[in-house]
Amino acid sequence: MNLNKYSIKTQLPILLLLILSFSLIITMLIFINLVSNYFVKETITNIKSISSRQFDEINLFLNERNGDIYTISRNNSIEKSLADQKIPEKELIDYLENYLLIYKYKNIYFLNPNGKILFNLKHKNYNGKLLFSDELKNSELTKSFIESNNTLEVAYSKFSYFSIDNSYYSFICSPVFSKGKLVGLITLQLSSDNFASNQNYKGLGETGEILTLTKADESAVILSHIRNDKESKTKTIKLDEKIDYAFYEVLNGRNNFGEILDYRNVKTFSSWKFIPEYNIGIVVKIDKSEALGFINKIYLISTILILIILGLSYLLINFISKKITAPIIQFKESVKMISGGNLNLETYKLESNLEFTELSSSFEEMKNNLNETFKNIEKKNSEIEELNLSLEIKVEARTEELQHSMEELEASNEELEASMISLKNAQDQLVQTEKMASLGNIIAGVAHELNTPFGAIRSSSGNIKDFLSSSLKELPDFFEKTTKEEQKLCFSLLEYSLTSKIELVSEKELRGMRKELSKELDEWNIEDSREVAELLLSLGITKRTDNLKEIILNSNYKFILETIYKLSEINKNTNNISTAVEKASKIIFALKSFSRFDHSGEKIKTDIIDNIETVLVLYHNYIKHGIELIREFDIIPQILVFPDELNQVWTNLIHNALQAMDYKGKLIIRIKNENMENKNCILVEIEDSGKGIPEEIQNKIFEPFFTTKPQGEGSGLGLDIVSKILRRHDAIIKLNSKVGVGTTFKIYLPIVEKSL
Amino acid sequence: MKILFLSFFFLINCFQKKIDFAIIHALTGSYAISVLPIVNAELLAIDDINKSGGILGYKVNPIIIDGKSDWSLFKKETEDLFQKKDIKAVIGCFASACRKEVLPIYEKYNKLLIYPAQYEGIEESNNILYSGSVPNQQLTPAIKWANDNLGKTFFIVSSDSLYQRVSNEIIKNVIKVVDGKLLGEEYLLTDSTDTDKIAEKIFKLNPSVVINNTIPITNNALITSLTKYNVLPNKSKMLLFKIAETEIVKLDKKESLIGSFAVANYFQSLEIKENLEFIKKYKAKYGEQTTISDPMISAYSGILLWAEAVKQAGTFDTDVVRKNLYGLSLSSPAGMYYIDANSLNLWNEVYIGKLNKDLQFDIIWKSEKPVKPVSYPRFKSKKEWNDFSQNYFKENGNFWTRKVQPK
Repeated sequence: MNLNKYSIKTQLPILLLLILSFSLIITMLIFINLVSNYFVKETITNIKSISSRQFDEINLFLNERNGDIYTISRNNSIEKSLADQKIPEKELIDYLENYLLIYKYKNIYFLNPNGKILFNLKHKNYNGKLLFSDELKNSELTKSFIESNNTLEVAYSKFSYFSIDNSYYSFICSPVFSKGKLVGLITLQLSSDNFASNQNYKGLGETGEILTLTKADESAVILSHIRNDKESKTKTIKLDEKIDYAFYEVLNGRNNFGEILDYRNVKTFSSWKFIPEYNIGIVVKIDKSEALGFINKIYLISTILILIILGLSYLLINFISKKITAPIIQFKESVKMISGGNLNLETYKLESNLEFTELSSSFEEMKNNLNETFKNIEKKNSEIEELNLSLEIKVEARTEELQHSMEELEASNEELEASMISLKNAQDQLVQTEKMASLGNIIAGVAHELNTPFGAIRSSSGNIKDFLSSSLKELPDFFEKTTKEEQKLCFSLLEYSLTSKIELVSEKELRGMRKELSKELDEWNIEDSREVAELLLSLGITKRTDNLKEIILNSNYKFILETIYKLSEINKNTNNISTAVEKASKIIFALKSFSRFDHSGEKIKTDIIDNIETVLVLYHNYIKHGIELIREFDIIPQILVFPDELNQVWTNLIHNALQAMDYKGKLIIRIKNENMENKNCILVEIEDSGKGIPEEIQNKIFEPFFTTKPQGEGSGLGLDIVSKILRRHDAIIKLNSKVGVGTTFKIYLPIVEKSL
Repeated sequence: MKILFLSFFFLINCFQKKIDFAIIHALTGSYAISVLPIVNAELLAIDDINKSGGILGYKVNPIIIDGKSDWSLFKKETEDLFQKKDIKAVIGCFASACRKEVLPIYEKYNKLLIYPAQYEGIEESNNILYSGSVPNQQLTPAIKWANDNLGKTFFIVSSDSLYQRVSNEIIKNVIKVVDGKLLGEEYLLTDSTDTDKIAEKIFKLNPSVVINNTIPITNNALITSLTKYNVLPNKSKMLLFKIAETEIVKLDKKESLIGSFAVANYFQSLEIKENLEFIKKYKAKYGEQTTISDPMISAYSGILLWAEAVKQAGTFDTDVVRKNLYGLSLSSPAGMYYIDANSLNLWNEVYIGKLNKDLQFDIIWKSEKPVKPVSYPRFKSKKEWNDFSQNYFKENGNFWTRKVQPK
């Protein structure tokens, strides 16, 4: 079947239904097959066990009969009766009557070894007849006699129709021996009624049967109660494997079981067993329809269920397939139209499940977009033309604009430059300010420093003035009172006193000297030797000399010595002034060299120790009060530096150090040769015993505008400038600081001896 | 295609699980002449079973052991076998003396022995399937028939072993019961060739029926002597009990036996469907010239009965198999077989045959229907029979076969 020629709307439900029904039916068949296999097995097991039970029952019955014949064949009265070939006596007949009643035998026959009926209980007219007579020769009575007579053992005949009693009987025949000889045989006639009693059909349902049957003239004779045919007491069925296989088999002496057609032509599960003693067969069976009846019910129920499921499924599938196919078909129509080029049709709203709604809206969107795009493309096309036209104009305009903006750019560039300059100026200014700040500091120190020499000058000049005013009047007297030789002597003394350095002698030594001198003078017999000694010492004369004796021996020696003293004092003060002026000029020189800041200058060969000393001079004022300054200077070469700038470095660092110590403590300055990063360097260490710099701000102190000083006191540019200056010298600055111990700045100045 | 199918079948055979089934017979020694064809029949039965798919999915693997006609060796070999291997069942022995010797082993290990020869009864073991016959299935009807048809004077020539002693006792009882007359009886040791004296005696006594109850190996000398003394073939009729077609063909004076009678539960000449099929099958396997006799069929059927019982039991367990043996039926080459519902004896058809020129028996008499086995013949009580059997054992110095001629 070619399904493809049908529409999807037709195909889908058909295929789904086919798959569903196929799987349902397969499942049902497998299930039912499993169940019925199981129950067939169970049923057969059951049937087999019932047939075994029946076999055992019959066997038990048989053994009882064995006992019966064994007992009666050994009965002495019977032995005697047979041996004598006489009709039994009354007593024995009564016994036999009772025996038959109790053991349910139909009759008993006394036979002689030649087959003559000596006696029987029920049919007296047969007494004396021969078993081989025409009437009896084919009877089971005769057959059992023959077998027993031949084997000299008990023989059982099969159940067969016995015409004399008009029913089915079996004969049990036994030889009777008397004194070791066969005297006759005795036969019990067993009725088939023993097997026809009501059977126990437990486990065999409504149709099950337990049949006992025997073979008679190629026919099966059912001896037992027939459950399925209550009318007939005994049923004869032609023995044919096609009519009832079980009957055929069992009456041919075989035991087996299976599913067969029984005598009613009904399918049954049967089990059959043969009992050779009576030549009877037992058939236990149950109708298949009953045994597996519920299988049919399962079939029916399953079929109905499947039909219901299929019906419901059809409705559901139809519904689903419509739900699926309707939008697809609609969609297909839309696509068809669009493919036809119609983009402006009314859109469909597919009211379906989410996917289709999405699909349709996406499609709608796509369609709209497509439409839009087409329109846009047209529009764009015309626009492009227009644009092409205006492009040239635009390009020109753009060129102009470009030029303009170039100019603007230039202007702004200039502006930028200007602002850069101003910025630089501002920076310079700031640096200058910083410089001024330190200058202020320095100037305060310098002013103080200058005060000392100027004070000395003032006092010295006052001394000179006093001396001059007093001495000048005495000068003519001096020249009058002295001879030329004395005058010469006086001036030589003066000269001597000017060169002598007695000032540096302590008071104790001085006293010693005075004492000695006065002693010496005493030798010269001078009245006021102590006074003279005092004078001489103030003139710087410590020992008496020959030329001194001449003067002292002069009567006016006191006056002369005083005059010489005064003259030497003038000289001394003049010397003092000169020293003070020298000192002041030194400070001023330092100040002058410090304040000079020349960027354009070239590097100058400088002694770094001198360079630092300059600063130390400026800070001499601070240092001398409370600061212990230790200098550890190695011999170092002169190097090329900007000395002014370096001055600033040292100023900053020393100033900071002093501040950090609050102007009290130990300032160590070390200068040595050091190798740093494979470069020969001069290392300048400035170590203070100040409060130290906390670790967290150690890396910030070189940043501009960072300060730990109170607002307004420092600009925060000091160390920034230091680092900038050092950078110009390719120098490295390192910091070593511990809070509470102190700070050490290490400056490595590379040794550059020649300018590049 | 055929090759493919065959190789597939071969493969299945190779991979099929196996069970061990023992065949313990006297393959050499005095009994070998009777036993070798029986082993053939047994192997054919196993072949048949395996060809039809085995038992419970197992292929039967025959383990053949030679008891060398030495009953104590049988006993030792059997016990060794049970200790070393998981043997499901055994077929074996051909003499009651042998069976008596090994029976305790079977009871000890609860194994099943299929005993394929006729025997004397007086025994009811749950561990032996007696697939041969009991006296009432051969001896009694034969003597009765001979008494009625051949004459009333009898002479017994017999080997001296348990079976013969018991069966002769039964024979003597039957002769008495049927009013016959026993003229004399003579016993021969197993390997005795001293048969002329006996022949002479029989010639002198001139019985109408000579009952031959000797084992086959002794028969050659006996028949030769009887021929020599002209007892055979015409003077007396011989009734054979323990000798069958297979052994007759090997006798020197086999022609002397033509016209003799034998009683058996099977003759090769039996014209029933099952037998014709069997003969065809047997000859196809062992050759056209082979003959078939009663104990071979007993052996063959015994194995098939056991196999059927195992199938019905669904297990090889001896107890369960035994339960399933009771009441079992089989269409054998000898006719219908039934195992009795109360003992492991078979219901047998009884045949009397007359040896024709082809050395086959023409069946001249048969029982009406299979005859019920009776283990204890009614001439004596059960106790008397047991005592009879035990006395013989004791008289012989605890042997079931006489080894020395009594003085």
